Amino acid sequence: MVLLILVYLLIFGYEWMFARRKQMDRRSITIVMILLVCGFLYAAIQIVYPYSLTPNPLLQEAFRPLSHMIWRE
Amino acid sequence: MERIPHSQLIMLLIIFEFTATISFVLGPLAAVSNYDAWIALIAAGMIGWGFAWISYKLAMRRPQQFFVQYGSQIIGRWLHIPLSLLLVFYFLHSASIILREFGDFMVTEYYQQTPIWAVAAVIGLCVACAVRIGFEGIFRCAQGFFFIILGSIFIVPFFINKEMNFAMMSALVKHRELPEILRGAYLASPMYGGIFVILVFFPWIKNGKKTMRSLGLATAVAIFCVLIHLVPAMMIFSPKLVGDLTYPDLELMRYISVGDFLENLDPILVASWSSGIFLTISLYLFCAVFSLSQLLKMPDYKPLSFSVTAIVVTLSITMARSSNELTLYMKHAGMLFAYICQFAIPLLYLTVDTIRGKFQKTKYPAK
Amino acid sequence: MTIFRWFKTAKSALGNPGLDPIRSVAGQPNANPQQPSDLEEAIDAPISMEQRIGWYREQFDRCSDVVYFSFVAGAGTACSVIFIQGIINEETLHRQIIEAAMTIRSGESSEQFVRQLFEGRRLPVSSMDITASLTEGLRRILLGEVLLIVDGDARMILFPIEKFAMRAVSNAENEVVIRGPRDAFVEDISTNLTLLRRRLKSPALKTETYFFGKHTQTKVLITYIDGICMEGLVDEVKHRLSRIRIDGVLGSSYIQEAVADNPFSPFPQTMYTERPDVVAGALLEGRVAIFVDSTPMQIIAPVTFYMMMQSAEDYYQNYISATWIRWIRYLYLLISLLLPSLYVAVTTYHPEMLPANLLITVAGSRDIVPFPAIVEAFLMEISFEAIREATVRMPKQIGQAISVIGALVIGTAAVQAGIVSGAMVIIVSITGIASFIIPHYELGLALRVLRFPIMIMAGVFGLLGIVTGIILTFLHLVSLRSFGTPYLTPTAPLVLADWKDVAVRAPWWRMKARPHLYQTDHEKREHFGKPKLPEEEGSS
Repeated sequence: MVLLILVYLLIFGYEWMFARRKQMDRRSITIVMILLVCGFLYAAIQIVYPYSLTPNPLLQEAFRPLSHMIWRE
Repeated sequence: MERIPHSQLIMLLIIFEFTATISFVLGPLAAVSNYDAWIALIAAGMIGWGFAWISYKLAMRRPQQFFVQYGSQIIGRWLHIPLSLLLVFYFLHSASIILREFGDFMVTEYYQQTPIWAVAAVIGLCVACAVRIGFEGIFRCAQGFFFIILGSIFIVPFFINKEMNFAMMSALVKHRELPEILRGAYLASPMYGGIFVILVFFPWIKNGKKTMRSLGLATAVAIFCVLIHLVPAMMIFSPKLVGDLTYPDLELMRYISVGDFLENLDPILVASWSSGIFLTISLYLFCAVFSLSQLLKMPDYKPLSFSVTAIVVTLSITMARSSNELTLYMKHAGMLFAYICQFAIPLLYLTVDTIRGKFQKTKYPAK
Repeated sequence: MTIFRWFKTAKSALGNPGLDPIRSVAGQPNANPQQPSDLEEAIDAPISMEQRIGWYREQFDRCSDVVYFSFVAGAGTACSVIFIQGIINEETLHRQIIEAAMTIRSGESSEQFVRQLFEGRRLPVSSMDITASLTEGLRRILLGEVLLIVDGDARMILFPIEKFAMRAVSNAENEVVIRGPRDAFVEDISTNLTLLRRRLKSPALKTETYFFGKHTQTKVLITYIDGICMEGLVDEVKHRLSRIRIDGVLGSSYIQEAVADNPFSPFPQTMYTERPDVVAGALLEGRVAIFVDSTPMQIIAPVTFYMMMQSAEDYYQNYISATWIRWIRYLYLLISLLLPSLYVAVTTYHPEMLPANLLITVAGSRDIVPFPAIVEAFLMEISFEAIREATVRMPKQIGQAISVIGALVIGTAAVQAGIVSGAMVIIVSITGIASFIIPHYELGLALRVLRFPIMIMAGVFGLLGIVTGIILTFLHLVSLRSFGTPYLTPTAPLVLADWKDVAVRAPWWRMKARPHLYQTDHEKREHFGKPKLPEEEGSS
């Protein structure tokens, strides 16, 4: 968890510096920051609740009927 | 923006097509299609090329524009945005699957003490830097590594020919089972169909009309590269064992010993091959980042690279609890998801565009 | 084509007069001094000699080396010369200027004398400039010229008869060759230019002068061959130079760092050389050379990574052996970058790679060593760096002693004491030798620096770490440009035609085209075909 926060802080710092140097518009900065926050939240949730939802089972459920047709199990 | 010449495109796509296939698909392929695996592989390559053809046709409709930008003109904004997001997610997901497989491989075979996130993070760092540097960087990198990677792939069959059981050859030639071939092709074709990513950056390809030829060449070389590992592996281990081994190609490499001096060359070969994996992941990730930035109408895609890479790394670690779960996922959903993104979505756009073109001939003059 | 387009944008930026302070600030000595602005100033300028000398005395306040000498020239006209002692040729001043001015046979009137002097140019010197600007005169005095002021006329004459104390042309010390020319550049820029001009006797060799440094006023020459070098490249060089605002230029690296494409890269993006033949060769390939006064190292741009792996020797030796030597160099480049990391990775993570006997030997030597391999490698590499730095910086007499002590301490004592293993000593010494094989010192330095991060990566992740290090380095190299030319040019992007001078050293009769990339105006070189065997010649 500590490592995760550190890594995200590092990325945040780098992106912030980059944005400052390139004088990016507000919108791009917001998008990058939102993405960072989303990534961080996802990772944090996965660490705190290890058995929470990931995209794979969702996809697997979505494709279940089709895959049954193919593999005939 | 510098346009990429076809030599660079071919080199990157060859690496892109065969590195992941050779290590992660060989086993499942042999398991489902036995002696017909090599035919299934060729068929998969052809199918993949066919998928790419649809994307190529679609891209050629507007060769100067980017797909993500003009897609809404074809099927409307409200359908285009979710479909593009799905594509972005597909790229991210493919990147994280390959990263996960690579991490699993490294951790089980070489670094038992190392946690998987460390391996994933190291590769993630490289990938993020590559995407940050940009499109040219990835392609030039591919050009630089191409001969090394290809050399390390081609060297293997030469040093293991004394182990091969050539009597197996007759079974390879004579044995035919159509369902087995089809199943094998079903398993392997998404690996080749991956080249549909040209859709995303098509306007950057120099002289886009020749793209199909380059893709064909790349696919052919990539099939050949996998075959020269698949056939020896079959002849040494028999299809049954190949199917049961987790990493048959690694076992194959371990058979190498050069004149009693260098015993196990596999770490070196794996090292050069892992640079191919790195390139594959970075191409997927680049496509994701680039499409996402265009979807969000950002002027530059570079600021997204680190945050998206972080997401991919977390996704790759958390997507499955064990490698078995991942295999199960690949069998039941991964392939279908790939088919939808590689085949169905471009086909949908193409069909709608054709129908629209029929109705409004004045607006889009027929090619 | 893209490079060309890129240059075009750079060029359009250059067109903006506000961006180009070179000409306005520094001016050019060869330019015609009778510019309109100059003449306008002349109207206001004082005609009286006393006033002007007073102005110069004010400017050169507390400068004890400035000499003011007044004399009476022909027709009773009062004249005076101002110059700085020691940087002019006083003999010439006495004989050809003062004495000659005194004895000009003119009419009785002072006006006639002045006309003789300015319009008739009746002094026995080979070059003189006329200016009416006091500040221009001031600047030129500092450059080592003699200013002649004539009473009653606002114009002044400048005689470029500078003479500095300088080193004679001597052997190249850093870039030694066995066959081929020995002379090297010295600190004096005009001598250096002569060395180049002796090799390129062509009017197409252009040299453009600029001055940099607020206080040093260092002369900088941009040289290129017109018709081979692309105009856009020259413009780009000028554009980059125009950005420089600096107090002083004491060496070519001051300029080098200011014109680099990526200022945060350890890799040199322009090359320096002390050999006139290397500069001539580069100019013939369509590159630009930048000469900086008071340094023997001149800059070449643009460069590629592989250019720095070519030594001047390659072109003077038999091409087959030169090719072989080049391959050896590439091999040792890899060794110098990777060998310690490979050792660390293999002994720590992949011992199964080694054959059993070798493994036993290595393990035996490592048996008593109390450190993990990475620490051992670090210790040795760091101490070797120390020895290397010490031997370069030490006075020559002590240098020998240092190397002997260093070799003894590290080579023998450390192994006997069991601090490091014998294998590590071999690795470090091979690495050390390998890093000296790289012909370009700066490139070797960059690799020396990069070796340590890769070593840490190898210690943490084994071979995967090394691969990561290579990938990151490669990504950096791939994204690097030198004046628009991709750094790894013939390999990434791939230009197979240029491999003739990278992978091998092709014989001169095969070097038909110049390296492609610089968009040279004449891609084809003058060349002759493959020399025919005597029997072939007889039959044809």
